[in-house]
Amino acid sequence: MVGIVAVSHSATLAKGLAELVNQMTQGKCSLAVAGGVDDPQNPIGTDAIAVMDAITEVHDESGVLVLMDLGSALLSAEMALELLPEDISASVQLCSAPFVEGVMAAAVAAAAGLPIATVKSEAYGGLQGKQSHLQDCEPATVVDSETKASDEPFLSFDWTVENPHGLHARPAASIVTALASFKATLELAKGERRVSALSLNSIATLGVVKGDEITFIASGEQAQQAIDAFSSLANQHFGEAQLVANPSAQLDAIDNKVEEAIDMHEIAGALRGLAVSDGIAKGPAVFFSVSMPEVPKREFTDAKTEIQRFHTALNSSVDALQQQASASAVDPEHAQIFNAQALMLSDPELVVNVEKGIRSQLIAEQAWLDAGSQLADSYQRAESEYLRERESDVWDITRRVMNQLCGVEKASLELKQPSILLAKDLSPSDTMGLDPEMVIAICLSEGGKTSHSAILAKAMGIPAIVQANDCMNRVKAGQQVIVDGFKGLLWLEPSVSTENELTLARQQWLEKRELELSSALQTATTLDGRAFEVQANIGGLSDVSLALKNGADGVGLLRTEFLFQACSELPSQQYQYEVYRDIAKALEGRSLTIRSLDVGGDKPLASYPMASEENPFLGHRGIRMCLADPELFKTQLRAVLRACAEYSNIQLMIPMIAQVSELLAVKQLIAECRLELKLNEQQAPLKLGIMIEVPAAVLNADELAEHADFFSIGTNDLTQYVMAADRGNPSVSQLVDYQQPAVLKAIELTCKAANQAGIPVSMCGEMAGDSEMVERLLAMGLDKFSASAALIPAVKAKIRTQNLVSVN
Amino acid sequence: MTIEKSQILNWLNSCADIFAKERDYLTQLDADIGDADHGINMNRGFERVKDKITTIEDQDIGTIFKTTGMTLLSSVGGASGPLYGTFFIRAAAAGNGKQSIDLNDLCQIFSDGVDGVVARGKAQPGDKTMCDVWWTVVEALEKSKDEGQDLQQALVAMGEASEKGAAATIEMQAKKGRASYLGERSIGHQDPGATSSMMMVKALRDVVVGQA
Ligand SMILES: Nc1ncnc2c1ncn2[C@@H]1O[C@H](COP(=O)(O)OP(=O)(O)OP(=O)(O)O)[C@@H](O)[C@H]1O
Ligand SMILES: [Mg+2]
Repeated sequence: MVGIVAVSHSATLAKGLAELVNQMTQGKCSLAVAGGVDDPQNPIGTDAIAVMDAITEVHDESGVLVLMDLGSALLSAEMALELLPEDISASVQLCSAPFVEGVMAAAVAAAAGLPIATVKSEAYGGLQGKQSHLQDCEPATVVDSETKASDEPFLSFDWTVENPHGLHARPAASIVTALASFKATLELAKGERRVSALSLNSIATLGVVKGDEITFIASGEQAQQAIDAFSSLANQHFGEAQLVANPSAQLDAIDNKVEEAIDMHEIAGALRGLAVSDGIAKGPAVFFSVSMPEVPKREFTDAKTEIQRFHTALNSSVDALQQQASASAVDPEHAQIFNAQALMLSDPELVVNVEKGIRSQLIAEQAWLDAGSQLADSYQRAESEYLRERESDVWDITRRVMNQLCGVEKASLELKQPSILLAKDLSPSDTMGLDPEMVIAICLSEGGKTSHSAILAKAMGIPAIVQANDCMNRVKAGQQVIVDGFKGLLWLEPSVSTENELTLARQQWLEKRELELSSALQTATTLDGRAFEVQANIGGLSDVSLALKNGADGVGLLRTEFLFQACSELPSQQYQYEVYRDIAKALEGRSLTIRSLDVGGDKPLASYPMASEENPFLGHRGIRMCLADPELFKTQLRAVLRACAEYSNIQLMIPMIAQVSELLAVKQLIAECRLELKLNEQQAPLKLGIMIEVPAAVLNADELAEHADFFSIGTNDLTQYVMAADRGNPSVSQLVDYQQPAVLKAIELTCKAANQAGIPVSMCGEMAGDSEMVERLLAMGLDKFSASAALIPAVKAKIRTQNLVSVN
Repeated sequence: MTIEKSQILNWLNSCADIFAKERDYLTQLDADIGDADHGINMNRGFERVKDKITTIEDQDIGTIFKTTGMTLLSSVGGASGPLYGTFFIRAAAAGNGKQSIDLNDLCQIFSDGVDGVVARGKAQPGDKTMCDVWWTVVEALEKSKDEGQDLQQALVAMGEASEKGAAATIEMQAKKGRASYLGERSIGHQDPGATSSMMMVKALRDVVVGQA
């Protein structure tokens, strides 16, 4: 099949075009794009090497047609041809057809298996349909699309088109595709006009609408076969049989539009907002308001002290955000939200503005509030809607730092019964803190469609609407209201019949959701019958119910840092024991893998000051720190052992193991704890495994496997360590990719060692939640997956499509 | 007198420094008659070149040029990417196996390179492009060679020629590249590509002869 390459200055444009093409050809076209340059700050441009790669990707003996947007795209494409070996470049053609229309036309022709010369002339004719429709100019490229009746003997077939939209692009494409392979001259006629039936553009110029009579004319060797093929296609209404049989489906859609338009007007009994998260819920209204702390009335000390004060508050806010990012067990997307906020806070410009304010004798609080308001203001005035919606993020970070500066504790919402939350706006951190069991819907008077809180609400499955004007004034606390997250309505006084309809709709919604989740609840069994556990990564008890709802077969990673981060004092053994016990209990027999404390200079603890290190990522962290402070570590070990004595589904996992002696030292400490607690191995059958994240552990996996009960591959750190690159550093972050061959190799070695030693090997990094990776990982011999709750259904679904016999 | 390989490396590094320093200036020139990215493009391209050549310092001049060209191709992003890329890739032929070059070699290197640029961009004299600088530069080098001047004199003359070539683009109306969309309005501005070419040429002179 002829390959198509689209070269654009803009990666977005190229991607969008590929989307259109794939939709049109149902993914049948062999298309590659080369768009933009590898520079996040200035991504617009073209790259000859990328063009070369794209051509190589889609090249086969039928050749490749290259279309370009403008300017350097042409030069880069020519350059690419020059760089390619003769045997490839000889069959590549550059084409000056209009970019979007040309690529579309070429793609359809290529997908139909037509030869490159035809594909190219289709591309040139790409503007015909548009020009003949708009009649705004003489067609620029006259392609020989009108054919003349010849004297050759021919067969013909008449048909009245019933397709509601006539022979628009998709039916036309199905004609071209179905007929391309016949050895015959094929034409389509409507009235006087007669065009090639193998040209999408030409068919489009016929302008066939519903009710039109067309004639299909075939001559040549395979004329009869072509006629047969055409008639059977016509009888299926050119791929739109369903639409023809049931045009009301289409009408319904139009009705909906009309309904929507009517809805735009005032609706009696309801307030209108924007729907951002599906679902319907009824309950009492509660108000949630968070206010900016007031600037305290105090004397200005001196610039140096004030600046320092500001920086301390700023740093701990950034840390808190990053911690929230790394503890976001729900979804990596959430982590990104907090990371983005942390980045906003670290903006040098913002810092400079605050320091400027302080130098002009403002106290830190005032200077910060001014700078934050100024920034919020500039977002509010931004051109793009997306940027405008970032304004609430700015207020959120401003408030965070203000809280720090003024020593205000974070506001939290204690609800006694399931309620509907009304607020002006919600910050992402407030949204994250909501309990989906108690907050059954959200209605904001402000907020935007793409605001982070909207995204979070959706991910948490809470119905939500935003921009419900005036909702804060029109509703009284405790009043029963209904949120319709499908239509974006807040119902205050629905009529009886509306209320009944809403109840019904809620019922249907809940049933549908149940259904979706219930398939996630099934085991993930491969086609050949092997069941795999897909577990959840969690950060605490509150994550358990969501994990189970998403079908988690237990917990593959319980981060224990949260216990240590939450308070200013180290957690007691008793407290830790209770937490572990409660989580194990909530899992109802499913396994719980507790990871021992993994902190270090890069993840500091308020309750446990650590020396600052030059290079904390390579420093005193994880097990290294724990072994250096046996008392701290043994407190945790004792708590785990005690919990395990009650819930034998608990196992322990040690992070950052680099050498066998560390594991042996842990065993020694556990043995000591057992003696102290008088809990032998029968009483507390604690399995002890290790995280594989340090390259040394990979290289020494065979020996480690002799001493460990299981492995769990932590791909996030492993990738960074193998590639020696920090994912937070934009200039090297592209190296941090678990698909790097070296990382894959490390994973493979680890699995092999575990398989050989007969111990289970699991994976708990981001990669485990990437369903695209499932096949690879199974092939390598991975036994278990552990991922963010939201990703579990997709991973399970993927596993169900696999066949180990063919994978291996 | 010859130009040593170390000087070639210094030249390329100094181009990187110059384009870092002149980034905004070149971008401004491009803002006047183009799409405001030429400085960004050149800066990005030569930053990569600077990184890349540290790994091939011990190779011959031909390889260094070839690598420079390949790097520019995939990192500059604008029209100047394939153009300068072609320049260095073509120039590489006459530098193959060499650790130093004399005036004859330099003439060959530059005229091969310029032929490549012209073949790629299809610019004509007076089209207001980088070629308008390169033609005057090659012409000056040929002249010095024919008159039997030494390398030093030739480089000085070449530098002057590049300034003239760049200045001459001010009065021209652009026929190629983004600026051609402006038609007559492109007159009165110095061409960004011509300016970056002049900077490269003068950088070579400065590295070999010392700051003029
Ligand atoms: N066809 C050409 N032949 C010779 N030089 C050209 C040609 N087209 C552009 N140039 C030169 O390139 C310079 C512009 O380079 P720049 O890196 O800004 O590319 P650009 O025009 O932005 O590319 P793009 O086509 O990607 O927009 C012009 O000032 C001109 O000197
Ligand atoms: Mg430009």
